[in-house]
Amino acid sequence: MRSGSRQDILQGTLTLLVLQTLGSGEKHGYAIAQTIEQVSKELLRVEEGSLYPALHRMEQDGVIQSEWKLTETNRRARFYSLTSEGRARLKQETENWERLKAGVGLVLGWAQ
Amino acid sequence: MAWLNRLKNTLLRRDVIGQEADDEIAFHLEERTRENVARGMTPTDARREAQLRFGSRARLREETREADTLLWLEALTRDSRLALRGLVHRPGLALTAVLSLGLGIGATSAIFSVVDTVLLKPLPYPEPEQLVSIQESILGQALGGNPARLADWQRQLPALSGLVGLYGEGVVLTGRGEPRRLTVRRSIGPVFAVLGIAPRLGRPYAEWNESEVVLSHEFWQTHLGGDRSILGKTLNLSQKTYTVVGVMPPSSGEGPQADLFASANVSFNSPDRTGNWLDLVGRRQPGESLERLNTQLATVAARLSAQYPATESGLSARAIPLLDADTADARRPLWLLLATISAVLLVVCANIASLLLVRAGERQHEFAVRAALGAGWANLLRLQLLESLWLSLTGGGLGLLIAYWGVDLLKYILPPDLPRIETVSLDTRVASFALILALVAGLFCGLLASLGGNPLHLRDGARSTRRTWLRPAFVVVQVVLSTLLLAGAARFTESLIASIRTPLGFQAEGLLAMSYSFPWDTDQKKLNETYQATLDQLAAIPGVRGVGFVDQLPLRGGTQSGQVEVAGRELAPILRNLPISQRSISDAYFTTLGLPLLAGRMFRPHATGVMECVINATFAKLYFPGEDPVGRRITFDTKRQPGEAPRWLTITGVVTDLRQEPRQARAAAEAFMPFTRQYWPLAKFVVRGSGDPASLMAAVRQRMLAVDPNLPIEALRPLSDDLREAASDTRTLTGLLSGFALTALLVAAIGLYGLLAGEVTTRQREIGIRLALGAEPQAVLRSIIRRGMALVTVGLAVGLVLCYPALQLLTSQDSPMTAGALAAALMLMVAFVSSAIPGRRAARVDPAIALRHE
Repeated sequence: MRSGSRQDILQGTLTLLVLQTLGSGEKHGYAIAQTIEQVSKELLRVEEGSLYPALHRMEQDGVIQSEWKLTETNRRARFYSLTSEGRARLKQETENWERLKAGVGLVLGWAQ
Repeated sequence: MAWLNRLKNTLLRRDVIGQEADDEIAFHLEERTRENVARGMTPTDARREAQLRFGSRARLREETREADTLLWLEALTRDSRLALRGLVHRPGLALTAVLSLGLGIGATSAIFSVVDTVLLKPLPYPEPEQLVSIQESILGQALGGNPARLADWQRQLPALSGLVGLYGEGVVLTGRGEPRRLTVRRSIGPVFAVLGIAPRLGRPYAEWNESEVVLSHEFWQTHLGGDRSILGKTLNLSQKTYTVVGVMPPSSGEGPQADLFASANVSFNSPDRTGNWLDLVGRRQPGESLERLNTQLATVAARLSAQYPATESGLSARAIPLLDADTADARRPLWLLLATISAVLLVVCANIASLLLVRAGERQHEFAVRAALGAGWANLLRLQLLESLWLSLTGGGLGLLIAYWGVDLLKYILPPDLPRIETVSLDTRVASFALILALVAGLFCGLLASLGGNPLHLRDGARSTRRTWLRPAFVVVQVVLSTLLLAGAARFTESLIASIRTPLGFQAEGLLAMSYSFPWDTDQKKLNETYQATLDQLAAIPGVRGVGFVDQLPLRGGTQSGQVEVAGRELAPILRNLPISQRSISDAYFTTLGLPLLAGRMFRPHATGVMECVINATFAKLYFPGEDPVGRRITFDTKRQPGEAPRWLTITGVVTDLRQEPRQARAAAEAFMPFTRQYWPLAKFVVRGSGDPASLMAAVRQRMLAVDPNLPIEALRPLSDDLREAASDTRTLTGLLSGFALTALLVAAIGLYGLLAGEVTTRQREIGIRLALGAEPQAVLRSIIRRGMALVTVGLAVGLVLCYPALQLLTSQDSPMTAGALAAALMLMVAFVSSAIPGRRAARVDPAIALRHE
């Protein structure tokens, strides 16, 4: 089922992506997966089997919170949203990622 | 706090969490399916694609749940339920294990609570680890502190921030109802600063101000009703007037508590270096080590020794932590008790491990099924450990309950002069100790039992992987431990019996004892007059046949002692340095006791020109072997200036030995002098009547009013009561040790019995065949007994070898032969019985039934 051009999400970056996705407002799990795939122009693909455990872990860690609500189509779904702690984490994780990206980029540039 | 939330989810919201995970997954799948349909898939394909993308729904559900809950705790509770259910099906095993572990843990925790409070808890002063006791000695003989020397120490030890001398004194409070005897703790030096304490009301007493007193909180509350206006008022103590200047805070039960606190008598503020009676307590400077303090002490002691050869020649001193000094006598017996009861607990654990081992054997089939269903080795081990942990934790709970009563029992039977014994209680420290003990015991038993073999291998029917030597090995270890305990207890019992058997040398029945005391600065004339008046008044009671004064009652220890010189003889160094008791008595003391003179005559108390004394048989044997000591002269006046003539004492007679201590093997050398010549304000009297000594008590009280109505009489009771009490510490310790040792023996015997009975059951068929083939039942019986005795002999041999160094450690004297032999005999006897019972059952196996078996 997997196309070669699609990337499975790197271990550990899922948290960052979920936080970033929720930054624009609360979403249910399916919407989170959809958003990541659409925004990344289908370059990234969320492993659905690991999304929900990650969401629950993040909730236990206090960076996101959840609530059962009705969707626009009037169906019950669990909506996740950022907590204030989550917002701080998002900022920090983004910086970490930028640093990592820069570091990796430098190394690659040097190797070429 | 994520784990707390997870714990809450695990315990309370388990079902909700599972349901929500399901709902969430279902919603996701429906959304995906709907989208797939919207993209043009058939509903069936759409659903299939959604599910494929999702992967295993069950695994996802578990992983999601794992994020929200503590899965391991869930597994633990599930396995615990399983273990508990398993135990409920074996009520005999469960009950035996819980009861025996409960008793073991309870007794160990109770004794630990005493050890903890008496030996381990810091003293209730600020920075208690800085407090030290300075212990002085001359030529190895302990010496009390002296005020003039205290001043030298105070000036010359930079490692100390302060040093004080303390002593207790009995005083009589008059003018506030009935005269009442009180204890005063008197001090020289900055006692409040050194101990770090301060009065709660008022101020400390001034040093060397003999008319100020500070009250203990307890005395203030019970006798003065907590009256705050007492400050500035006066108390009349032993005919002297004191002004109350302060009240201390409530004591936290540190040691024998004084009623009052005051400065030392002014008369001791002098350069006199002869009297030695102070307890020295110092506080180390922060950052100064005990080693540095001891180095300084050694230097100063050498300096003082050279400076004052008459009084301090050979002086040495060392500092030890104050807590250790306070508990020096209690240390060994208490650790011994704790070690003993721990060994008993170990013997109990071996039995439980053995039982669990049998159970593991019985569960082979069950384990094989579980293994076949996918349980790993770790799961099966967890199941086994949980079972033993539940047993031990339940036992621990029961143990706490038992410890709760045990502590009260121990407080009742242990000697009341153990420091802080009255504050012993079941606190959180003891509870944690019990809990840890239970956990350790549970893991220990469970792991021992799991040594029986990897349960996974059992399903192969490979019996060889089961370690059949394990249970016999447990029995051997039990026998080793029991032998050690029995030999130890036998050793103590032996010396107790020896001390009871050793004749007192006199008739204690029919004697009445009484005591009273004066402050230490009472003058000799007043003492002599009161003592003589007491002797006269008591002798005049109708029916009284004799009255005697003595400084200390028999078996209550000695009083003063010193080195002796013999006129016209150079003594061997060992004899020169031997401390000899100097006792003061009235001339009728020996006849009142009925203690016969072996040679010569009694001293004359008022002999003119000469001073006379009587020595005991041990003294005569040591210093005058093969000679007649009567007429020889001795002196204790060794601290005189050089060239000065000593005060000689002429020996007029030799008296039978009398033991000073209940557990004393040999009597100490003693010299007896008239009380009029010795200073001793703590008077004891013995009175011999014609009948029951108790019948004289009223008359004695009556007569004492004529001597001094303000003198409180203490400890008026038959002398035999006093003697019994004097020996009670030894008896208590011996009783406890023997009880523990016998318990260990019993538990080991049960272990042996269980092993052999189990073997007989499994061998029933074989034994039946043997009997059917004509084996003698007697031979079967013998073979079982032989097996039991062989195990016990191995354990006994190891135990006896080990008990030699162990007993040497315990009591330095004599060889432990008798004790070892006694332990061995007892062990063999009990082992014989525990092997004979299953042996008889084996001999009675009916061959026919055995052949039909299975």
